[in-house]
Amino acid sequence: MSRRFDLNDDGVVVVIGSGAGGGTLSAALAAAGVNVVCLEAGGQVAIEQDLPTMYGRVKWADPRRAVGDLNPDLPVFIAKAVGGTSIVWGGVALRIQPHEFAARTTYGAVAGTSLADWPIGAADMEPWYALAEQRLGVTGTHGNPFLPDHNNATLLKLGARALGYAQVSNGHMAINAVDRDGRPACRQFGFCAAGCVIGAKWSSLHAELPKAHASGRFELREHAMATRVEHDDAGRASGVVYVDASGVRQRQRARAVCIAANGIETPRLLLLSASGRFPRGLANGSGLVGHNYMTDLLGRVIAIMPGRVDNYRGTTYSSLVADDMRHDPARDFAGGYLFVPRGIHLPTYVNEPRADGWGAEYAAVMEAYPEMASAALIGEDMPVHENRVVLDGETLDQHGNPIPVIHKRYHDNDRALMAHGLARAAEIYRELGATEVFTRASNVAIHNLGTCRMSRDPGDGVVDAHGRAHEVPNLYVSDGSQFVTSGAAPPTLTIAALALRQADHIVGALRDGVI
Amino acid sequence: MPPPTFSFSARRRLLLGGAAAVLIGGIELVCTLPSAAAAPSAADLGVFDDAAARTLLAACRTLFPHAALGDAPYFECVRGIDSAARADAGYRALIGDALARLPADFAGADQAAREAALHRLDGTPAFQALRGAAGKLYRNPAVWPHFDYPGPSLGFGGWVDREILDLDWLPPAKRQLAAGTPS
Repeated sequence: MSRRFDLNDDGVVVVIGSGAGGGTLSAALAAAGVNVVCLEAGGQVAIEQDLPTMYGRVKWADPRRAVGDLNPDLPVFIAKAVGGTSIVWGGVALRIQPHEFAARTTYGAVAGTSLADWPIGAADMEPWYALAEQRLGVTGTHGNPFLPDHNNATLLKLGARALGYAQVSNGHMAINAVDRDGRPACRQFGFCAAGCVIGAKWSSLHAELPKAHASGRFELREHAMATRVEHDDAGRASGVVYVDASGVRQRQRARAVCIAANGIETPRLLLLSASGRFPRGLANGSGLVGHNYMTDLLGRVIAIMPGRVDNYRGTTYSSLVADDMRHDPARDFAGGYLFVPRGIHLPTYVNEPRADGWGAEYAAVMEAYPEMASAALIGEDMPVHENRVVLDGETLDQHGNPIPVIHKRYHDNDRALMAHGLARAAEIYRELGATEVFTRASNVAIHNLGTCRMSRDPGDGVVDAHGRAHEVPNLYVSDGSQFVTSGAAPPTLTIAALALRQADHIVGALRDGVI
Repeated sequence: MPPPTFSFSARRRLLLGGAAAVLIGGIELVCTLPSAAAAPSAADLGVFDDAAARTLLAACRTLFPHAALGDAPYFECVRGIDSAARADAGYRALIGDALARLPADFAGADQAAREAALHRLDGTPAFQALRGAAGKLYRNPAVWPHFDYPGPSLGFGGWVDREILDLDWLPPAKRQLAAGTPS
C-alpha cells in the first residue's frame, strides 16, 4: 500500500529519482523498515511498441547545452518518467571487471586523463553483484536460464567464432527467460528499447517500484522536480525543495537525502544547492562535482548480409561477445569493449547506417532493411577532468534555474578503442559475406557517469565508498555519478548493486544513530 | 494468430506493382499501395501553396527515393512539414529558406538534378529540417510492407515459439559454428 508522508516529517529518507538507482534503493530501504519519499520529475508513461513515440514520450526534454563532441541538438538521451531510464534500457547486465576497479593500477598513467582506482574492489562488490543478479534475474547467472537465439544474435556470434573469439554467449540479460519474481518470461517482442509491455525486462517501473509500494513505507511523488537540497546549521542535509505537479514550490524535510537523478541532473542539483556554507555547491569542497563526466563509448554497426536477417525479431540486445573486454597492454589503448547484437526497427533505421544519409544510394541501403544485421559496441570511456557538467551562465529552465552545460571531448584513447572495435566488428560481418558494413561512433550519450566520483580521500572525489558525500554525512549519491571509471560493461547492474550496498549501509547508519 | 509473413515473392510483387496479396494467418489481405492518383494539393495544407507543396513533395522523394512507393506516403511527410510549420514560426522560416534555395523547376527535374540541387543545401539547418521530415516516411505503416517490416509484435504474441533462427542462406560450414550450448 502506498503511503502519504507529511512535508514536515523529518524522519523520512528522500530519494530523488525513481530509475535503476533510486527505485532499487527505495525498494531496499522500504523493505528494511525505512520510510521513503521518492521525488520523480516525470510522470507515469504508457508503454507501446512504437520507438519514435516512446522516445518522445519518455525523453528528458528540458534544455541543455553541449560543448565538444556530443550532438548539439541532443547531447544526452535519458528518460523523465516514473521508472526513469530503466524503462528503455537494453537489459545487458554485466559486472565491472575486477581489473577495472583498479583501472589506474592496471593501465598505468594515461596522459590527459584523471584515471583512478575505485575505493572499492571486486571482492567488496561480489556479494552485492550476486544479490543484484538474483534480484534482477540475470540470465546465465544463479541458475537463471539463457534467452534463446535469433538471427541477429546468431550472426554476430557466428562471425565472432569464425574469427577466433571464444567468450561468445547468449549474454547476461536482466530479462526473464522464464516466469519469475511475479514477472512473465520474455515473448521475444523485439521492442526492448521502447520499454517492455509485459515487464519481462527488469526495470525500476516493473520490478522495484511495485516492491517499494508493497512495503507500505513508500510514497512516490510524480512530476516533482527537485531544485535544491537544503542543509541545517550543522551542515547536514535537512530537506529537499521541489516543484510539484501544479508548479507549486514545496519543501520535504528529511533525515537523509539520496540523489539518483542521473549523471547530468545529480551534479546539477548539488551545484544548484550552493549556500553560504557550501559556496561552490553542496558537497563540492573538492571542486569535483560535475567533473570527470563519462558516457561509455557507444559504437553502431550495420551490415548488409547476402540473405535475410529480419533483425527486428527477438530480444533486442541478447547475446554477447566479451573477449575484447580485457585490458591488453599490447593494444594501443587502455581498457576494453564488448559487442552485443542490436535489433533495429524500420522507423528508426533511417539514421542508423549514417546519421546524415540520403539520396538514391542511401535509399538502396534502406531497401536492404530485411538483409540488415546490426550490433552495438560498448567500451570504456576515459575519465578526463575537463569533461564536465556545469551551470549555464545565461539560460534558465522553466523553473528559473540555470540549465546544465555538458562539456565532453573524447580522449585519444577513446578514439583508438573505438577505431579498433569498429574495425573488428566489420571483420565479423565480412567473414559471413556482408556486402556493405557501416560503422560509426554515437554522439548521443545514454550513460552518464563519474560526475560525483567516489574516493577514499575527500580531496579526490565527492562521495565515499558507500556513495556518502564526504562533506555532508546524511547526503548520498545513488546513481552512475558515483562511478570512478566506466568499465566496458553498461552501468545498470553496477548501479543496482551499489544501490543495494548503499541501502544496507544507510539502514545500519540509521540504526546506529549516525544519520 | 501466427505472425505476418512476408516472403520474397510478396516483396517483389510489391516492388513491381501497386498492390500485392499478402497471406496473413490464412486470410488474404490486399495491401494496396498508395498510387500517384492521390495528387498533392495545397487544399490539404494550412501553410504552403500548391507550388511549395509540389517542391516539398519532390524534395522528400529525392531524399529517400523508392520507385515502388506512390506519392501518398511522401505527401504524408509534406503534411507533417505543414503542420509543424503551422505550429512553429522558426520551423516555418527554415522550410521557407529551403524552398527559396531550390530552383523553380525543382519538382520537374530528374532525380540526379534534384539531388544536385539538394546537395547545395546539405549541412544547413534548412536541409536538416527537410531530411528529418522526409525520414518520417519510414514511420508510416503504409510503407512497411514494401520493406517487409511487420511492425508491432504484441498483436500476435511476440516471436517466442516461432522460427526466428532461419539463416538458410548461410553456408552449412558457417552454420555449424552455431551449434552447441551457450558458453
